[in-house]
Amino acid sequence: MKNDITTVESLFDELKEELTFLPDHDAIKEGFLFGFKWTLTQ
Amino acid sequence: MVSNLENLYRERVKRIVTTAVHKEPDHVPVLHVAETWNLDYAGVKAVDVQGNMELEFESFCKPYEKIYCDGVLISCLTREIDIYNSLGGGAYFYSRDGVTIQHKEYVFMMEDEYPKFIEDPMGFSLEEIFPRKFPELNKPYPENLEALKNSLASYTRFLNRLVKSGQYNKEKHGMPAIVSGTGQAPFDIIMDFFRGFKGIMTDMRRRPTELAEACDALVPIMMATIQQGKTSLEPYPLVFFPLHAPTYLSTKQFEELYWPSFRKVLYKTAELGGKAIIALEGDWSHLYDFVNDFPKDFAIAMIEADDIFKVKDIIGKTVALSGGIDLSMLRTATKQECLDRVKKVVDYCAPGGGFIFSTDKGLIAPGDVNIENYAAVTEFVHTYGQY
Repeated sequence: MKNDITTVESLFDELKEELTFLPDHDAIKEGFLFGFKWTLTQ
Repeated sequence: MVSNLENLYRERVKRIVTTAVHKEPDHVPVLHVAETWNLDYAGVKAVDVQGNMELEFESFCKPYEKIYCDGVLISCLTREIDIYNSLGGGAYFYSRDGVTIQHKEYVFMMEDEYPKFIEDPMGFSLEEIFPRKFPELNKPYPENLEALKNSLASYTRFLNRLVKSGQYNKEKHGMPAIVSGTGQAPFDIIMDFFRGFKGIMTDMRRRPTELAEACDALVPIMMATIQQGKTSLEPYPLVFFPLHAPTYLSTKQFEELYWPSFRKVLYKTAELGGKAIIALEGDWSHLYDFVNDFPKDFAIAMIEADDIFKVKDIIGKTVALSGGIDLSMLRTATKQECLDRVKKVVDYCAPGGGFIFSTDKGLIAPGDVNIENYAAVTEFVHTYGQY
């Protein structure tokens, strides 16, 4: 087990690497993940 | 050169946006509000189209062969169940017969957790609610990450499906899918996804201050979901707001707990240039004063249980109206009775614009309407409702 994975948020941070279809821009990737988190909230 | 379908699409959009701001278009627009009913009409079930976009889009458009419409509220299934199933949980599931997608209420937030929610709603949801809701996230690393990646893949497919279904409607049928995003009232978010119906009804009495603060804390999150990274909004396509709780609230409860945060969301959306289609679910007759406080010409209000003639008189100058006939009448009345009703509605509601003809509720289950009646009234409104 990876030691620094202690929160759900940190799991979402790791997903940024998966978003290769988006421009390599942090704000865009965070915006996309925000939509994903919101969908999971529902 | 502009194709016939492109022209048809533009005409239909113009019809809807013109009447939305209380101007008379060329015809009364007809809006088709249906989800899984479309699939049944085409002879398939919700489970059959899972992973088959072409079949899903084709099936959603099949009713256009029979009924007249100028736009649709929904152009594909609005849930992707695998997003939730990948994580071992979630509230959405196929009905036993595979025909519809249903929702079960779960309560994952306890009544004493409002302070944590108010401090950071999204952080609280992620770190406290998600592990309760999604068992796969509690597995050791990297199993939990793999589950989240699978869910992300389903989410990406879902977004792709939403975009492509709109394109398919436009390119193959010249049909506008009039909604580009969904907003919600903060109170409904807490009820639907955190505390449940019974929980929030208790909280209204025992924890009104915390509940109001929690609603307020959700306003920036709601705006972020509506804006999707944009600094301004287009007036078309519309933001869809389905409003769930108000029909169960007293005027005082609505005024104190529902309206303040929702009003902020509405006005911020309007200030950014957006416009909305708002489903006033159930009976809003005790809340018309608040509807008259909506920004003028900002919204199309979908009328469900209210009397559309009274509604036209009382709120019809502030909001455009969508409605006119209820599903039960289309299901059980004769064709002539349906046509007589619709003629009265058009005669009363259409002058001056601000009126779209639609059913009172979305068509979901097989048998929700008698298709012959539905076809007759949509065709009648289009031809008779010429300005």
